Amino acid sequence: MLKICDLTVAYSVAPVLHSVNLEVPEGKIVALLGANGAGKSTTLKAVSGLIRAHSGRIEFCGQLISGKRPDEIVKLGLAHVPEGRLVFPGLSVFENLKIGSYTRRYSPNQLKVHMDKVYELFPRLAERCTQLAGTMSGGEQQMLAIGRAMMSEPKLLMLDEPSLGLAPVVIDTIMDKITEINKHGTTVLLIEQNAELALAISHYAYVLSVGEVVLSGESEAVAEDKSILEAYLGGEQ
Amino acid sequence: MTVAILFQLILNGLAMGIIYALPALGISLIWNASGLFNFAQGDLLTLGGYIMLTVFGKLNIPFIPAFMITVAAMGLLGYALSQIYFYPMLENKVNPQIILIGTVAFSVFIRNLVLVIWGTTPQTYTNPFGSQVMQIGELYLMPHVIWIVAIVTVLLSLLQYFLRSTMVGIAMRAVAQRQTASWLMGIRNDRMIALTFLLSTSIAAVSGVLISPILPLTPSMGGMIAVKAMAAVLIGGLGSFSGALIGGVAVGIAETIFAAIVDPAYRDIFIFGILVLFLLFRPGGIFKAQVSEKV
Ligand SMILES: Nc1ncnc2c1ncn2[C@@H]1O[C@H](COP(=O)(O)OP(=O)(O)OP(=O)(O)O)[C@@H](O)[C@H]1O
Ligand SMILES: [Mg+2]
Repeated sequence: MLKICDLTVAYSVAPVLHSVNLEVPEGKIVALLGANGAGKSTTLKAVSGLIRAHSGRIEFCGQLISGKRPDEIVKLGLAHVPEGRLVFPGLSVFENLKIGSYTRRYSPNQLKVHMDKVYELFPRLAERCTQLAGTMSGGEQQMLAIGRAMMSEPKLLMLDEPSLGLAPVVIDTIMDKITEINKHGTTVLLIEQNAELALAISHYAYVLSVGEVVLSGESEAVAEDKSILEAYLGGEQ
Repeated sequence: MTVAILFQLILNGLAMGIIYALPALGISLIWNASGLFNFAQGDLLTLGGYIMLTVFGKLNIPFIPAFMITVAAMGLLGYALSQIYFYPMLENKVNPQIILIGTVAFSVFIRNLVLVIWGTTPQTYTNPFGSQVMQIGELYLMPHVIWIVAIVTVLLSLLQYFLRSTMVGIAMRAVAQRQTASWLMGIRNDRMIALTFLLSTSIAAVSGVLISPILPLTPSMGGMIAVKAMAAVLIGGLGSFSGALIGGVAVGIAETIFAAIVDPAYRDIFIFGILVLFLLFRPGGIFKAQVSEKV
């Protein structure tokens, strides 16, 4: 579904990503792991068009998307939940979800159907639909950020460290929801520093280190390479 | 002084204050969307006033279509201005203080353009609201006072509805809060910021038209109004929607009453004295802009 070939990205002169290759098959959850500064977020930003690739190709559903604007990419069915959630603090939960469907131009009925789906996934959001997003807890904001992305009915959902800064119980809920979203047919690309979490729910995994893919394969197999994982992820596991 | 006179002063001050509130609102809209303080807001008002002078006063097009032509022309100007001039600077990460000079440059540009096209002689056109003084009880009012209040009330209700309840309105507020996230929603930030400029210059045009029964048109009129609008914005709270309105109205009423009771010559000294006190003791203004209000 998503194919990244020889992606190189540089912010200034020194490249941050060196010729990264990565593939996300339809219907799966793929984990992208790596220590701080490995280039995980940079990879996602290049895919969603927030930053320009220096060289390389990015294909989504057989279509070349590198060089397209973010709004064109969202329209194709690719949603990116950014690092730090980035909900709109001064908009209500309802408005945040509504703006998630910006490119879809739903009729009021369709909007309600999609909103109800998100509320079903995260009942907490339904309870708080009039609350300002900026006043919600970190876990609730993460749910909102994911719900907002789901409002565009994405084929591929890309999540940048959804567990960041959350309590273990909340992390478990979020991971369950990601699995649920995937079971309902959405392909997922999940970025995590916490390898154990991500490997537990993903089908395939890639490990990024200093801008290069150093390890990839089925998640179970990658999970077994404990020593390598430790070497690249900084021995947290 | 009788209560009736005081009441009348308040109403006249209200009409003047609304004229200040509109550019103040325009300043806050642009500030929220792009982080720019638009120094040209007052001169945009002047330009709107002069376009109306030509369309309504010289070409004799009826008031309502002439008003619409003026607002539309100014709106287009704002949109183009953002797309051609301001957004490229924002995108290229030009230092905001340098862009600020860009708005000052634009202000001087408009002022001199108006001067070259329309000349320096103060100009007026027939008061479209009628110049027959109305008597209501003990009050003597010019019809435009009532019209200004009515037109602006309708306009602001529409604006409020647009920003709160339509998808594009919500998108404009989203862009004002988080630009990266709004790109990820598929919003064209450049267009939304241009739309904010469009709204802002249209509002400037409305105030330029509404002011005509109160002040004759001169190329420099916008300058003084802009300074009052800036005072209104800072007193109300920069970036706050209600702050701009209340600040503008407060400035208008305060200066009108002060001029009547004390001395018109000291009017501006009084207003800017108050501004200095605000900057010293309550720099955020009456309403510190809240995220919820960011437009
Ligand atoms: N806007 C930027 N300008 C310059 N360098 C940047 C910029 N953003 C990121 N970098 C650099 O690119 C490298 C990769 O950053 P990136 O954010 O992709 O890492 P990451 O894997 O997501 O890390 P983390 O786990 O901390 O989020 C880092 O060295 C970082 O300093
Ligand atoms: Mg990151």
